[in-house]
Amino acid sequence: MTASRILQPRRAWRVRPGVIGAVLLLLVLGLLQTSVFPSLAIAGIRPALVLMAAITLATVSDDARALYWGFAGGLLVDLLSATALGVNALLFTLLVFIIGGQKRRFDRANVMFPLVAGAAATVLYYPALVAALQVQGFDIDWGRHVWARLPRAVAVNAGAALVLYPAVRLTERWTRPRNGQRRLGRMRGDYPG
Amino acid sequence: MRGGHRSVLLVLILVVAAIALVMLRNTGVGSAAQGAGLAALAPVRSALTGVSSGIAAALSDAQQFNDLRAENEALRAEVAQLRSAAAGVQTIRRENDALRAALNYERANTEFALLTAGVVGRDSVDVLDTLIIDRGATDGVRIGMAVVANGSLTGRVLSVTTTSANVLPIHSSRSAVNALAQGEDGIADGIVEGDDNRGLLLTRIEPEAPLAIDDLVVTSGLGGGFPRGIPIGRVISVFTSPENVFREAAVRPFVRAERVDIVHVILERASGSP
Repeated sequence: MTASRILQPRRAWRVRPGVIGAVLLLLVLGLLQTSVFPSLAIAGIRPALVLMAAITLATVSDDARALYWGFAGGLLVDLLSATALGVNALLFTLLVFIIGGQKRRFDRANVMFPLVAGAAATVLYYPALVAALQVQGFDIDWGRHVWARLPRAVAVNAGAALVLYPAVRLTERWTRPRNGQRRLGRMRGDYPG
Repeated sequence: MRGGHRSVLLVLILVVAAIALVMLRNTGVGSAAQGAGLAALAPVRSALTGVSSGIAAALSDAQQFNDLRAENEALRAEVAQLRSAAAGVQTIRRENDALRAALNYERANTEFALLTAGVVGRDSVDVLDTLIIDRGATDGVRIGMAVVANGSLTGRVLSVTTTSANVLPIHSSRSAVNALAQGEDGIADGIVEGDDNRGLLLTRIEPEAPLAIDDLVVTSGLGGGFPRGIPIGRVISVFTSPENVFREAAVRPFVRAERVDIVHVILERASGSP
């Protein structure tokens, strides 16, 4: 018992470069969203880059990783915002779960899926966020801030999702578990393909 | 099947974690975490904000030079080239000017205890449209304090973390400030509200109150939120509507919050001042 335990290779804990890349991607998108696009808004709308990255990933990756991305991305947006910590983490996680759950109905290689997913996520996100902010005590006019902006926000964010698609896809491949882990994941049902 | 169950379980765990984080807000731990996160990212955000506002300014300038481009294409190209070369210098000069103006304002306004702050970014949530400044509770910033830039009202502090604060600009449609319009004929009370076109509206003006174009609009100090007499802007048009007994006036603000890099937070009235 003791000998076999000694002979077993010990699994060293280390962060894979891909994960660092993913964290960096989210961080860069968060900083662009809060520092660059306020000055360069498109049609008066700042693209929700972090949300679009998480949603785009949900269309191409396995459920668990997309959920982690969604939660981490939401947390980052919370950190860079006046919202209570956790509000966007909650919304992003739920949106990734809802939209990611639809990917089995679509061909993953179809580039239109991230576009539609980005648009759908925006339609769900804005009203949900404003409702959450109102619960926190923010006084927000639904007509001005939701219904008047939503069509433009859908267009801008869907476009952003399309632009982000190659980068997210690349990061997804980079962060994908290696063959052994992947086989194990497939046995568990993480990888349907 | 098991994978599906696992995803649902993971969602539940993450949702519970997120809700727990939301509930931490009132304990101050959430605010401290937000403050630490913002402090860590502040230098990068500040640099990016500077670069992007420089790009935005350059784009705006380029638009103004459209007529000249049509007249003299070669000259415009040369100007663009020089502009590009001088971009770094311009950024530094702009920052220098802002700091100098801030210093002059601080010297000229001894009746207030002012705190100089840098704008390090904008809210990540598009709907909120707040500015984030690099001063927080440890510097004495509190919710509701007035924020000025170049001597004019820019907004009010909406929320505070240990090392940073969110400022709601006056042009926000969620902003309302008690104000008065000062003209040659007298004073008119009203409320300055923001609108979506980045302009301001002076509302709730009595029908008989004296009001004219070019009147100076300042804070009234009513309600105790802001000190009296902080300049806001000038009246550019006055109008009435049949369904409203009060008159309204469009106000051009002296300061555009989206162009501001340095601001002052009015901490309190200095001791000995009226």
